[in-house]
Amino acid sequence: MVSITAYFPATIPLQPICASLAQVLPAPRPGEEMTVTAVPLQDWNAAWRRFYKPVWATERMVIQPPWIPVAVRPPQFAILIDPKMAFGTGGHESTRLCLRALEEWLTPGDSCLDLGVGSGILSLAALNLGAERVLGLDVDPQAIDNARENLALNGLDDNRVTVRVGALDSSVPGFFDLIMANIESGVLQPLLPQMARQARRVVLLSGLLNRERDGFTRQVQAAGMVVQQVYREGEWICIAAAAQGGRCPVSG
Amino acid sequence: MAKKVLATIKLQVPAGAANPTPPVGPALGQHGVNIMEFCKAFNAQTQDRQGLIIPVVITVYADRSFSFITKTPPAAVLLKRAAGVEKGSGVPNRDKVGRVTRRQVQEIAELKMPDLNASSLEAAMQMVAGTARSMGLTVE
Repeated sequence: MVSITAYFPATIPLQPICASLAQVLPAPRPGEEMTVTAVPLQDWNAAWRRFYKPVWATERMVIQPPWIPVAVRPPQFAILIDPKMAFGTGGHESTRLCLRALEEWLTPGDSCLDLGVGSGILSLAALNLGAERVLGLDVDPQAIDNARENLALNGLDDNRVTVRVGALDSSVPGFFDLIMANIESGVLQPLLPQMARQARRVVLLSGLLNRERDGFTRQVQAAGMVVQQVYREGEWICIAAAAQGGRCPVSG
Repeated sequence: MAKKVLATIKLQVPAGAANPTPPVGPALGQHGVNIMEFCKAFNAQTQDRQGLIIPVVITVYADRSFSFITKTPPAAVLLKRAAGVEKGSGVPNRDKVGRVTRRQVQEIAELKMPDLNASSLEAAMQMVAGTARSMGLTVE
């Protein structure tokens, strides 16, 4: 037997859809039926939580579910992440690559911009590595809620860090020593020129596929940045590019 | 040793636009898959096909890791785009909603060839034309 499930937003009247389906489908045989069920919004990731395990992203940092103890000795540190409906739990290559790059490129005292803050994982790593100021933005309010929870969970919800709903636009003023963004090539590409203008030293670009490497590298160079290093794990890459925002005049 | 397969899930998801709401959320959530990681991977792989519906077959393993393969968009989706219509006909043999050329049918058949159980392009075109007729499109 084959069962087909279709989801519709609760705002759409289902009666007409059921009626026209009944028209085109063959008459139901015994045991076959069409049913309509309301599905409340919920944290679909809840079932996965049971399978969440600590992940060592580098030799120094471990991503830790709050309910599983992990022994760390300085300079090692743990980033506690309570996983909800936001990206960034340490399991994905693009997150680990960006964490590795962050550890190499962040200098204590840096100001950082975290685009697509998600669970807050990169911002938390930056704070642990000595960032002086962090601004985390995400277009998804659910991510902002989760990022705030995780900041509090780590005792790092202090005045060094701000997270809010938003994107890289004119509402983001000033310069940052380091800008990091783990999103995807199609979203990142149009943002490259502004990143180049607002990053004083380095931009970390993750969420890229290895097959996008050449094309994306050209875009990075075209925006006036210089690729310093490419980190790779499986089919994913993270690019670290040097920027000179605020130092040389940019036309246009 | 091959990893133990827990479940295989078939979904149709808009290219580059997977998010944790239905159908992705409940379908993957019930098998304990990290939904956000699937969305990340699916969107990165399909963002260059924006605007199309992509069938995807997800294999979930016992350790809750997963792999997936994307297929070519359904013939019906490609036909609607080719004909410039929003939806097919409810009564396809009586009410025609649009038309597609043989040339368009051929293009769709060529694109769908890897996923069709057809021995030749001609056979694939017949399948696509059959789908077209069943949704109230005239093939000319």
